[in-house]
Amino acid sequence: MSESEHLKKIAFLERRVQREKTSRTAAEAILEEKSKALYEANLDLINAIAKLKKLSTAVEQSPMIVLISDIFGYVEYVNDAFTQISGYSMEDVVGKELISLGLNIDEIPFDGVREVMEKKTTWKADLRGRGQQEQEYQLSISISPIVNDHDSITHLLYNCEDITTQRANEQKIYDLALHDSLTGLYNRYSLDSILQQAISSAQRAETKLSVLFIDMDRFKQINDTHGHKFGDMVLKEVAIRLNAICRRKSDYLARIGGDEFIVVLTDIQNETFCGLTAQAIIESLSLPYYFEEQDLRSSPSVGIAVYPNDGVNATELIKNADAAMYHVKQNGRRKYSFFTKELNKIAEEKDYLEQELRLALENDLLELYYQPQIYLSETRVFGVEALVRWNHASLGFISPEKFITVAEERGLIYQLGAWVLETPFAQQKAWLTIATTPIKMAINLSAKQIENPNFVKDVSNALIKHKVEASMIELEVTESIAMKNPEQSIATLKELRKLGFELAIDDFGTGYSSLSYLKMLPIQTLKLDKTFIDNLEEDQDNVKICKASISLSHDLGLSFVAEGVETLWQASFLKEHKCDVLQGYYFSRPVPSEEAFSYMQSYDWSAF
Amino acid sequence: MKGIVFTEFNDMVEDKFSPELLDEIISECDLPSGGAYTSVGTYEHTELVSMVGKLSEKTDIPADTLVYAFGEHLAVRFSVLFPAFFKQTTNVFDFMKSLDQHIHVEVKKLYPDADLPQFSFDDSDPACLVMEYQSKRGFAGLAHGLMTGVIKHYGESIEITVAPISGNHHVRFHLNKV
Repeated sequence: MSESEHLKKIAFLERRVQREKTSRTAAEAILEEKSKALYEANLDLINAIAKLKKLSTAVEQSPMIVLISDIFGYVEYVNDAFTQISGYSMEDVVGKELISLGLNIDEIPFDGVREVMEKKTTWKADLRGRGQQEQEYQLSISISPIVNDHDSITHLLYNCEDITTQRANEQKIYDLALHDSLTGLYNRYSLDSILQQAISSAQRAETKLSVLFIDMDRFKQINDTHGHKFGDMVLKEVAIRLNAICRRKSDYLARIGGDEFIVVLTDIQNETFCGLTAQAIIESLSLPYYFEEQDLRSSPSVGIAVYPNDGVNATELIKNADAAMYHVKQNGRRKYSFFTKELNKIAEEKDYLEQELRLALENDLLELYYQPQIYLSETRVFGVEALVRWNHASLGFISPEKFITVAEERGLIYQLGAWVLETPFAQQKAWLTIATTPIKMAINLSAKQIENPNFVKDVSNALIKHKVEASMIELEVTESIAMKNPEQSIATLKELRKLGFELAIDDFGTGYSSLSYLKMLPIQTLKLDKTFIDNLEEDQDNVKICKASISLSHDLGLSFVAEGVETLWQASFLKEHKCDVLQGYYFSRPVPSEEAFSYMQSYDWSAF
Repeated sequence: MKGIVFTEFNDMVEDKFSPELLDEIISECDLPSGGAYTSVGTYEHTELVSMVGKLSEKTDIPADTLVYAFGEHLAVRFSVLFPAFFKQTTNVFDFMKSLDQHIHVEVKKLYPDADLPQFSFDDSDPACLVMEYQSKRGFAGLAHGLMTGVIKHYGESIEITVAPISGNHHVRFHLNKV
């Protein structure tokens, strides 16, 4: 090799070495850079993993149920909350279709997934789920899309809350609101809507339905005699027996009041079926009720109204069934009766009277008439008995028996009673300033007043309001009212006596008072029923009864009033036999207050 | 262009011709990089174009033939350096189809700055795969050589016909099974 060639070779090798060096340096620089980038990427990765770990732990342990599926509904992830509620393990569900996990009982999630995929919005609903052991649970679910950087949905996120307990509680509350807590039957509130629905169905199907109104006879006596515990037991037993009779799915049972039950029989072909059912109910409910070795007896009265003949809405059907039931009560109980046109007429008339009576009470259209009473004592005192009268603008005078019955049936009696009590108080006060002779006022009380726990307080308030002397007022209760629930009557009457009122037993001799109870009543007066005064001239038995009653009264320290005195002979006889007070047509009919007052003012004491 | 193409080209020139020829080419081309390539670097593709031109000039072999031969050589080298890519598929057609979807994706992960050619396919005829090559660098010849190398690797009998659409930048290859 020549020197030039040698030099050339050296130059070539030097260039080559130089290139190798340069490329190595470049490679090292690149590697350095890459390794730095790798280190930083690694750090980022560690942080990201820590962050992810925190998030995934939070999701894992969240009390909310979290599921993630791909867009075809195949599960990729579920957290512990889901495995706990469903009983499925992570391995059971990953890769499975969501619908296979018992989450599609109502087909609802399909709609949700479709909507989320179409609109990319969150979709919410409540749904039922079924776990591995077939147990059912309820979820409040929201499905939302998981989108990537290109705004495409890659996954679906399901957030669910277990609302099983909440729903169960809501159901409980709902049931409580719709059911009678004592018997578990439907209550009045739900009956209306059930009946309304049943009517709509019957209307569509052109079928009939019937409403049986059941009232337990003399149930109040069980409550009063044995206490509410026994009363409640009877009611529960009634519900059980009714359930045993009305077993069709289309039968509905409700308790709408104390001892009032309703049976709705839907989809009936004819009335015979209703009659047979009613008869079965009567027979079953009339059987004795045994509790704690007590043998309790009651029986039902049943009224039946049939759709569409007897009414086309719930209110009408219940009202007419009630009217039919009432008819049974009036005619011997322990029977059933269908609603009829006549009952309809009576019911309509009662409706009208009720409506008018409400108006009359509101507008003060009732009147009080006063029938004077002559006291035969040495001190000159008059008495008057306040008697309610209703002179209706178009119907004329309506008999008190008629409208008081309506008031009792339609829940107006207490209001009416209050009016009948307060108005004489005002009258008494008015007379006090102008009368020369003291006037005692006799006022009749109704059973509802005696039974009402607020009555004594109401009377006391009225007394204060009108500033009248209680001792100048005599409150009268009939023998039958006083004996209906003697213990309660005695208690109430004692309270009234404490307020200073005089108390009288009215219509004495017509009921069946026990003398031992009579002795216990805090009364001052006995009023013999006027049937014993009628024909006193000819009826020797009445003469004997009168004499004995007067004697009994005086022996018990009571004053004796004879009402219905119509002749001078009767008046004289009674005076002769030491009767204390006389009242009747012989002296005066019941008249308006002015007339009564002028009668008393002009009364000639020497005339009798 | 990735440095590996340059280092492989240089290695091929040294092997097939001589280290001195390579030195001459590098010296005469006056390359911005000075010819000091590292496989992990990135260089202007024009440097390769210059070197191929100079080699053609020195050896009297047409540049296209040189590029085609280099492509074939590169395919062999890739199968040695990156055997995993070749093992993923069992035949030429599947390998070709995996280029864009798989291999280039992986390359991108390693070298986010890599500017790769694009391929599209028509495989409706099971006996003929139509591949369209598109690249701003215009190395259709290199692609052709690479395909030939791949065919040799899998030992299949496939003929390639080349139908240029737009010079060397957009070319359609028909790979026919024979």
